[in-house]
Amino acid sequence: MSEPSRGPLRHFTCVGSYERCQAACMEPDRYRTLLALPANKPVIAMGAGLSLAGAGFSSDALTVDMRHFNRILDLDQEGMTLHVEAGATLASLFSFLADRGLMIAVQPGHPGITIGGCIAGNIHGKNQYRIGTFADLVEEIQLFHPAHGILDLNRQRHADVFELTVGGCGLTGIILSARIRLHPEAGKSCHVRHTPVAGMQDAVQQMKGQQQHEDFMYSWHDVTPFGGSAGKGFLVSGRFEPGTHERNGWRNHRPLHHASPWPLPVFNGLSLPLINGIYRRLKQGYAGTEDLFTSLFPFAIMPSYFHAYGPRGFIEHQVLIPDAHIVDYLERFLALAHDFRQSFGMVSLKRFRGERKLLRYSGDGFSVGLHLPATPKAIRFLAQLDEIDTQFMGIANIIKDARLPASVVAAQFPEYVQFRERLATFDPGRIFTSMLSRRLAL
Amino acid sequence: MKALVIGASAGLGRALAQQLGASGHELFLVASDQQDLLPLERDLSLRHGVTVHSAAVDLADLDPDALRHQVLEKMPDLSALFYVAGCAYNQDNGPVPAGVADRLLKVNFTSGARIINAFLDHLDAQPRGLVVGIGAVAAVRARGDNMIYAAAKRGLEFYCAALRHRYNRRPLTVQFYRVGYMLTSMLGGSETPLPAAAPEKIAAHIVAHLEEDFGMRHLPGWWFWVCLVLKLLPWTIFKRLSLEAPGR
Repeated sequence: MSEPSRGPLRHFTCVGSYERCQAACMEPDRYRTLLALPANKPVIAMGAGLSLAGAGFSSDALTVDMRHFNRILDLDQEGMTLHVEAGATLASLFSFLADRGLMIAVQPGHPGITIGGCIAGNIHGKNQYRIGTFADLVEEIQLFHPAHGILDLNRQRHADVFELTVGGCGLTGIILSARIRLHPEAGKSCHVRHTPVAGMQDAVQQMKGQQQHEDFMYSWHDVTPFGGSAGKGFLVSGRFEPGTHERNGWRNHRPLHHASPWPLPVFNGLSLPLINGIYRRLKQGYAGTEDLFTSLFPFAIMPSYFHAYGPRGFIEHQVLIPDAHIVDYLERFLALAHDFRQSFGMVSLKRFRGERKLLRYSGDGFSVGLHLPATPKAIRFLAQLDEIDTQFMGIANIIKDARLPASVVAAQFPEYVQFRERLATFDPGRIFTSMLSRRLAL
Repeated sequence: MKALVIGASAGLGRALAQQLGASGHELFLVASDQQDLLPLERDLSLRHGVTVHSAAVDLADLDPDALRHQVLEKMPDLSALFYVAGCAYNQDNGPVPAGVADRLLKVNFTSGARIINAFLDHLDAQPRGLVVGIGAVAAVRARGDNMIYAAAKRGLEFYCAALRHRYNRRPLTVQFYRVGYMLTSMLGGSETPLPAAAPEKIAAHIVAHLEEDFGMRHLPGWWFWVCLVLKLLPWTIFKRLSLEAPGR
């Protein structure tokens, strides 16, 4: 009688605002409501709704908002595992685990992301090279599919569905809960250093030499006329330290609006070169100690960064280029950026290590991350960059790039067809669908 | 404090259980479905280190004495009872099926009164007993929407007011809250003509004022003025008003 029904249409937008639509939504707070979903109607689960692509909504599907399924079910301190419902956010778990000297080792840039989102997107943190991706932390998943009921998945039981679910963008069903492997808390604070680099290729060489010794490392580059043709910038490296557990970042973090509330773009083609130049000069050479939360979630206390792109929003493009091609790739990338006079909000490098599998963003190489204002010129630039990515054996991050076409994903991922076929075998009706899955023809 | 929360698995009841747990109170949670109670029980005991018990009870098919026995066996020094349970029906604006009417009356009123009644002598015997009833602003003046729901909530309100009168010279405190629109599944995501409050905020207010003997309050507080206006409006104007959220 008091069950939530399909509510009125709600407006959804990804972070970055590029993919958006109106869709029906329900926000169940009881298992019986969730488990009563029909087996013949399109549906998709949504965690915090902080995906950079339209992974949690589609105009023809019912979005199931999982925010109320956020409870901690079990903590095995000796075995260092946490069993938690999928709607729990990383921020809500951070303090609980820190009090017990534990942490989730792989953390994305924003703490509002849910455990279900981390699994479905197979997110990575700031030291994928040493820690791996979220897939490496997932021991068990409880998955609900209206046609299959509740399935307990792990690497032995329903192993095929487990593989499809981790990094599967929510297309196998609704993740109810998961058992996550924990690590001892690496420190109470983090000493962060910004080391100037002459360009992106210089950053690659330095990361190859230093990555093993740092708790996290990535680079930031000024790819504008002020940053020179090589993309001057700095390496950001951090080492966790013991000491007092300051929680200023945890206390001060603010939720992220999906769509920018700012009426005009502060970040645009004219302002970005200047802002990048000033930022580089201010930040290079910086060294200081930050609390652990702030160092893990740099975007948590500055949501205004995302809002500054204005109502038109931005696009994130991430591509993983094998070690053997990264130097040549960067040369082509910088030349293309120069030809287009393309402005970036952010250009960053991270080193990766691991196995390529299905549609996951993992493997050996360097991850090149870009934020661009979502202008028609940027779309043309990215279309050409897609070709260069493919030519250099790169794979794009499908969960982050809201305009990535199916043809590019099919060309870049050798197991694209296999993913589709295995998904269709598990779910012939293919009821789990999103804007992302439709765009990528999954 | 050792508290019994009826209707604890979702909405305001769950928020209340979370805030009481965070304040270190031992809890006994009652809701209709064990599948929802167990995760909450685990979560509260892990996060806050408090003892939490639970029982699945269908309030439309209630044995108050059995519940009393079950609760007091686990929590012999129970000192507070929160009746938060409620349910609505989105076509409660005319004849409704008999089973639905029966459920609306039981969950929103008679089961509440029967449970409070079953624990009354026990709570009265405590040094600082507390009964908290949760009502709705829909019950402030009779209207053609949510007819049975509002009548039942009004019944609960009346019963709690009577209890407060009866026990005014005893250490037992009776509080009653008329709550406005809340962002819970009962609202079903519908737009509301006046702002809806987060259940966490309502729960925080309730937990912060457990010691006070104020009788009845509106939450959020500005609903007092809305309800006052509604009560004073002449019939010729009032009959044209619709303050209900669509779908409720």
